[in-house]
Amino acid sequence: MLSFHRFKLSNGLTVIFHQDTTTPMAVVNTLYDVGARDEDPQKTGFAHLFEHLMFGGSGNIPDFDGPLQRAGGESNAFTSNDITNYYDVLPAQNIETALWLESDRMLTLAFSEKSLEVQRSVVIEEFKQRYLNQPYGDVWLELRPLAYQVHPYQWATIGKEISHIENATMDQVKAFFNQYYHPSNAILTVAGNFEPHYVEDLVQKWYGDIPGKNKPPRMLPCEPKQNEYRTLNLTRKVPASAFYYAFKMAERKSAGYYLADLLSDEIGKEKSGQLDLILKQQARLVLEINAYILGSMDDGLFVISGKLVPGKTFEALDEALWKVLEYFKDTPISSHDLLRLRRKAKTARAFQEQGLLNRAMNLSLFELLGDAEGINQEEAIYNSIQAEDLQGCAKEMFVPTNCSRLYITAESSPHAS
Amino acid sequence: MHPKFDRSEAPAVTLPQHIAYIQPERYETQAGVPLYVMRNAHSEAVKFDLIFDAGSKYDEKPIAGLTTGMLLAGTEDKTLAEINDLVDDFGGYFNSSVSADHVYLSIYGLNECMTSLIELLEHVMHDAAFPEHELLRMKGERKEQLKINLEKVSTLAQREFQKQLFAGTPYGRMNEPDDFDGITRDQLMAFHQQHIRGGLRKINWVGNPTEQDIAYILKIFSRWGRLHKERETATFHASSGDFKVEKTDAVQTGIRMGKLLFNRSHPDYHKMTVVNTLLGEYFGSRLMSNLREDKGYTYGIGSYLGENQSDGYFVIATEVGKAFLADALVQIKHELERLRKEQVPQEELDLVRNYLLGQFLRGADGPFAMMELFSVAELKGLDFGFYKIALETLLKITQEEIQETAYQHLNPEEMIVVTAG
Repeated sequence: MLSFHRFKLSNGLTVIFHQDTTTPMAVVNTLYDVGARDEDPQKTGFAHLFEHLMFGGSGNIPDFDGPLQRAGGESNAFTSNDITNYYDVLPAQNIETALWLESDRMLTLAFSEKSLEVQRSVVIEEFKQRYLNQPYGDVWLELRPLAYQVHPYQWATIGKEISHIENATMDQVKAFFNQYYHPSNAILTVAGNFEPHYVEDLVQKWYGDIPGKNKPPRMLPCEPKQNEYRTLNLTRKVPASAFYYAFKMAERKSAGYYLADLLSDEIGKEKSGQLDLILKQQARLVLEINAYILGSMDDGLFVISGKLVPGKTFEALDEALWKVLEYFKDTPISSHDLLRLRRKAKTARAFQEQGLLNRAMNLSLFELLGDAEGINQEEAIYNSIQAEDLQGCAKEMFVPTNCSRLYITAESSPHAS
Repeated sequence: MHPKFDRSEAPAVTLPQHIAYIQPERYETQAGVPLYVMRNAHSEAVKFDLIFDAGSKYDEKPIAGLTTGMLLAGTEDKTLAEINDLVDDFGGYFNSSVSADHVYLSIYGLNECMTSLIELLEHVMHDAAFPEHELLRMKGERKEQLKINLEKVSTLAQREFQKQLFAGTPYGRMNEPDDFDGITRDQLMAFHQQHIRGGLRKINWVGNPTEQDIAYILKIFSRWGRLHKERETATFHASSGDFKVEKTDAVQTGIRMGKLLFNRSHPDYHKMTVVNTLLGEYFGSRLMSNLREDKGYTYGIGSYLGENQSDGYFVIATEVGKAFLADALVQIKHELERLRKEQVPQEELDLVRNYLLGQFLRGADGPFAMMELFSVAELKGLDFGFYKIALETLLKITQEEIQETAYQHLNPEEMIVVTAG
C-alpha cells in the first residue's frame, strides 16, 4: 500500500504528498496534462520542443538547472503523446529550492529568443539521432499514420517532420504556455521524509499566488472503429527485415486496457511464450519477436514486432503468426499460466516501488486518471482477471480488420519480396 | 497568508558533509567464494548477483558472450522453455552481462521464494548443456544484432576508439559478424568449465535471508571454484592521432575523443572525478553548455571515466550534425584547454561540489545502491574507505588542484580522436 495525502490550492493546483521516512532524498514531480495529442496537425512536435524551453529560464530566475545543481539536485523531463512530466531529485533538506524553481516556471517563462533558436537546433539533432540515423529509427513515423487516420496519435512526439520544428515561433511558444502551463492543468507530487503540514505550507507559499485559469478543454477527434486490414511495405537499408503488427486496443481507463496488458505479457513471454516458442525456437522464422502495449490514454496499440531470420519470408511469418493468435482466440490459458503471470507481476511491482521517483510519477499519473488511490487498486484488478477474460480480449482484438501491418524489407536482402 | 517574498532570491541550501555507509555481512563458501548480504528492511524485493572472473578478455572470439547467454538455455533434462516456466513459477527474473573482465548474472525475486529460485538456477547454470540447436540460433541472433549495431555511428566510433586505445590487447579486440560462425559447443563447454564453474568471484545478496537460507545457499555453491591466482593484466600503449570511420549515408557524425588514464586505485582518481564532472558529466557541464545549450550542435555530449581491472581511460562522446563536425572538434579542444589554462571560477567549483554531494547521497540511497557501491569497490580490492576519501577530496578540492589535475591528465595533444559518419 502506498500512502499519500492530497490537497488542492484555491488556484486549482492538485498536490499529492507521499511520505517516505527511509530516504535522505526528495522528489518534486510536476505533470502537465498536455502532450503531442494536443498539438495542431500543422505544428507537430511542439509539446516536446516546449519541454526543452522549460529549462531555458523563468520569469524571475534566469537559469533553471544551475540553482538546482547548487542544491545537490538534478532534473529531467519527458514528453509523451499524452502528458509532459518534469521531475527534480535532490537532498530532502533543499526541497524548497525545487519548489521555488518549479513554481516560478509555472508562473511565467523567460521566453528567450536565443533559447528558442538553440533548442530548435537541439531538437532537430535529436530527431536525426533517434529517428533518422538509426536502423529502424523511422518505424513509428510510418506506423502511427497507418494505424490512426484522424486521432492525433498519428504523429510521434518528435513531430511529423523537421520543418514543423524549424518553423516554431515565439508567439506559438507563448500561446502554448498560456493555454497549458497553469495550476489547474498540473499535478504536483512531493515525496520524501517530511511532515504533511510542512509540505502544505511550502507549497502554499510558492504556488499559492500563481493566478488560476480554467483547465483547457480537450476535444480530440475520435478515431473511428477500424474495419479494414491496413498494410504498408517499405524498403530500407537495414541488416534484417522487420515486421510490425499493430492492433487497436482499449483506452487507459477501461477494463480492456488491463486485459490487453496482461495478454501481451502472456503472448510475449521471452523464451517460454507461444510466439517465442513457435516462431523463434521451433520454426526459426524470427531473430526476435516481442508483444507489448503502448499504454496510451486514448485507444491504444497492441504491437507484435520482430525481425526475420535472413532468408525467411514475410509470407511464412504471417501464416505462423496468425496461427498463434488463433490459438489464443480458441484456447483459454491454463490456470497455472495465469498464476505465473500474477507472481511475475508481484515481483515487478516490488521492484518498481523501490524507487521514490517511480512512486511519485505513478501517483501523479493515477491522479490524472482520476484518483491517485488507483495505484493501490491495480493489483486487485490484475488478480481478478480470468482466463476467459483474456480469451475474450484476444477474440476481439486479433482480427485482420483491427490490424495495421508494416513490413520493412532489408534492401540488401537477396530474399526481398 | 505568507509574507511577501522575492521570487528572484534562491532559498538557502545545505549539503551533507557526511554519508553513512552500511557494510554488508560477509560469509564464505567452502571453496573460499565470498557471499555478501545486505539487508533490505523495507521491501520484499531481492536481488542475487553472481560475478565471475570470466570476461571477454579470456578468449579470442565471442565465446564469453555466447557462454553467458546460454547459461540458462538448457540442461540434459530441461529445455530452455521449461527452465523459463520454472523461473516464472517463482515469479523470478534474471539477466546477464559481460564486460572485458567479468561475467555478471543477476536474479530478481521476492523473499518468499528466493531460496528455491536460487537453488533452481544454480543447478541449471552448473549443469548447462549448451544444446547445439540453441547455440546455432543464438549465433544467428547475435550476428544479426551486431550487424544492426554496426549501422550506428555511435557504435562505429566507440569500437574504433577502443581498438586504438587498447591496441594489441584483448581489450582492443572487437567481434566481427563472421566471428560467430565457427564457434563450437566444445569451446563453450571448455569456457564454462574453466571460467564459470571455476571462476566464481563473489556473490551479492540484497534481501532478507534467514541464517538458515544463508547456510543453505553457501552449501549449494560449495561446488563452485574461485580463482585464487591473480590474472595476468594487460599493459596498454595507445598512441594519439586522428581516425576516421566512413559511413556515407549518415546524417550525424559520431565523435569519441580520449586517452588512457587510470582506474579508481590511482591517487588522482578522486580529483579527476571532479574535473570530469565540470567538463562533461552533468547537464550544466562545460561541454553541454557550449555544444548543446549555446550552439545546438548536438542532442547530448558527455565525458566519462571508464575503467577495467588494471587500468582506465577518459573519453568524450557525442553525435553531432554533419555540418557542425569541424567546429564541434574545435569547441571540444577549446574546453579542454580552458580547463587546463584557466582557473575554474570559485562559483562554478562550488556548484559542482554541491551537485556531486547530492549525487553521492543519491548513490548511497537504499540497500541496492549501497550494495552496488560496495561491490564495485570490492572488485578493485577497495572498501567504503574509498568513498570516504572521495567525499573528503570533494569537500576540500581547490581551484588550483582542479587546474593542476586537468593540466596533467587532459592534454588534447595526447588524445585519440575518432570520427564516424
